[in-house]
Amino acid sequence: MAIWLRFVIWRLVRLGVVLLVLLFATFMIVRLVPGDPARLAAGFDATPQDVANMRAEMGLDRSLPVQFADYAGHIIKLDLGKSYSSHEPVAAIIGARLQKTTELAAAALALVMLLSVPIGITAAALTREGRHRRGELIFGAVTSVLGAVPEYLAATFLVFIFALKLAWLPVAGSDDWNSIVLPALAVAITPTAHLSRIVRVTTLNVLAQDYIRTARSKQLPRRLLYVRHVLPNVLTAALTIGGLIFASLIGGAVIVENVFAWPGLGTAVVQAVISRDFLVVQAAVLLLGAAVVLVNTIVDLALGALDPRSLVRA
Amino acid sequence: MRRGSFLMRVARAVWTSPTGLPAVVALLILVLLAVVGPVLWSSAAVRIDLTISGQPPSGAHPLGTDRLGRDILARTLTATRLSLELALIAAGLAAAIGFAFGALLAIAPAQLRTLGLRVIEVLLAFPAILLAIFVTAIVGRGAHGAVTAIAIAFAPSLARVASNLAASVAGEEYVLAARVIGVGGRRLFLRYILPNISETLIVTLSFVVSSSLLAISALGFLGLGVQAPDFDWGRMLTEGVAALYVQPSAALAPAVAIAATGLTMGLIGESLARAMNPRIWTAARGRRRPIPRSSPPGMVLTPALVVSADEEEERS
Repeated sequence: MAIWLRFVIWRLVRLGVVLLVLLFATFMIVRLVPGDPARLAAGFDATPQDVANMRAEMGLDRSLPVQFADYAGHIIKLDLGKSYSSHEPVAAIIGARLQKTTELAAAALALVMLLSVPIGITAAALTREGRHRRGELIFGAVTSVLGAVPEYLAATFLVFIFALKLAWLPVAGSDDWNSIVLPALAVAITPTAHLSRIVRVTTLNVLAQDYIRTARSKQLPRRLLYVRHVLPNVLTAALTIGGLIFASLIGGAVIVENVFAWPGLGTAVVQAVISRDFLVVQAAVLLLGAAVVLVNTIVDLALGALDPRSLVRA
Repeated sequence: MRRGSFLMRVARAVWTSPTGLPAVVALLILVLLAVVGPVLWSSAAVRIDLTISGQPPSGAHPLGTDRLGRDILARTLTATRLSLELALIAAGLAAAIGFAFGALLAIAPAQLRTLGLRVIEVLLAFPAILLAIFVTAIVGRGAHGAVTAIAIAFAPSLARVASNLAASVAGEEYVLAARVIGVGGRRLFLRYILPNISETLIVTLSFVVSSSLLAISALGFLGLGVQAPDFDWGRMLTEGVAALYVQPSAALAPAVAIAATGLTMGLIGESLARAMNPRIWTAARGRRRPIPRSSPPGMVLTPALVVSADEEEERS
């Protein structure tokens, strides 16, 4: 129990430190940008007086530590400032977009899990103990090629095939219920390829264990063999790289959104970088970064609960 | 397991794998295109002729023409040079930053080293592309900004590989022996540690070239990389995707070019890795024994992990 408690506290402390670093990094974006942030915020046609007012309003005339404390205070109150270009509150802009990105990432995650676990287990069942050598080679080749194709290319090819040639699905936007299929698929392909390889190797390892031989010899139905013995191990393995998968989903979603004009955080952050709307960039990076760090911590904690060996390694 | 010079082993690894030779041929073609491409086709690539805009593939224009009547094949071939150039510069810069930090970490006092590795761990938790977008927000978009962003985004993982490798070699007996006879700091690093990790670093670098080509094309595609009138494959892809309905080949040609080049570089990297550690190949062909491999080769963001893990296996 003491080990478990120490592990949880240590993880939470680390989470806090990382979030603080993230907060500082996003705070520095606006200060590191060449040029005067106050002038940018005030707009092109601002008089020197406007710029000076804006500087005072943004608190840029005070010392950096004071500014940082001020920034942190605002973030806690979810006040992210106003967009340079549209002058709307950043929190409102980001809030609406966040939901869309979450939908996309959740759909992609569901696809990854639903595809890679059966594919990996089937591949392992077919190729165990050196059967179907050719099938093993094909599986390895296909997964490594699909795992190496970046999301935006996958998205382009998918649009070409399913939206243009076959005309089954809409090309872009998020108006129809089925417009999420192609973006989610594009985001899911790479993680699915990686995860199904890992699932296959994990399954092979489980199948080589003595308790499997015992289970087979006492005539345990094959279905139960896989459900009781293979699946739990596979899910732990999937969870182990869960953080990696999540990061890859977020990174993929940010890019893929731009192929499909999906109105999420990814399109928002790219537009904001192009139009130099730094408060939006700041908020989006803070949010996505915090999500990644948070999920990693949750995955660590869940692993600690499921697999006590990871407590010692940490 | 180690026989012959590194080059000899690379040649053998290329020859004995089914993918090695095609990859080398593809690489030679790419290099050739990068050298002669702009010379031969750059005038056709930028010639605007609105009377033939958006034409389907024909004899005169094998892949058709884009919105402004420019020949898509000529543009794709011409863009080879810029795309490869940017990828190589970004990878080189990433290596310079990453390896330097890694070396510093390796010789740093234990506590500083732990702290540094923790920071790197945090950076690696983020998707590299997000880190790159973050950096372009600061340094500005365009070719310079994109290259800098990619270099900074990839540097942490390289720093970790370099420092872990150096640390593992630093524990070897011959390094201890050198210490005992009084070989110090810089000389120890340059003469005893660096030569023994350089091969692995080269392999790592070859994977980084592949990843940085994909990443820089991604930034170009997002409109954060190369700006018009210059064009690389990423830039072409943006324009192509915008006109996908009208002229699919305008998007497919650069997409296929990026995918094929990324794959070629990845396969070259695998050949190099195999040359360093022949067991990766012989075990894969092996007798009914699943290879214990925690992560697949060519995992785009952390290719180096595979290599270092197998390295340790070989040593034990």
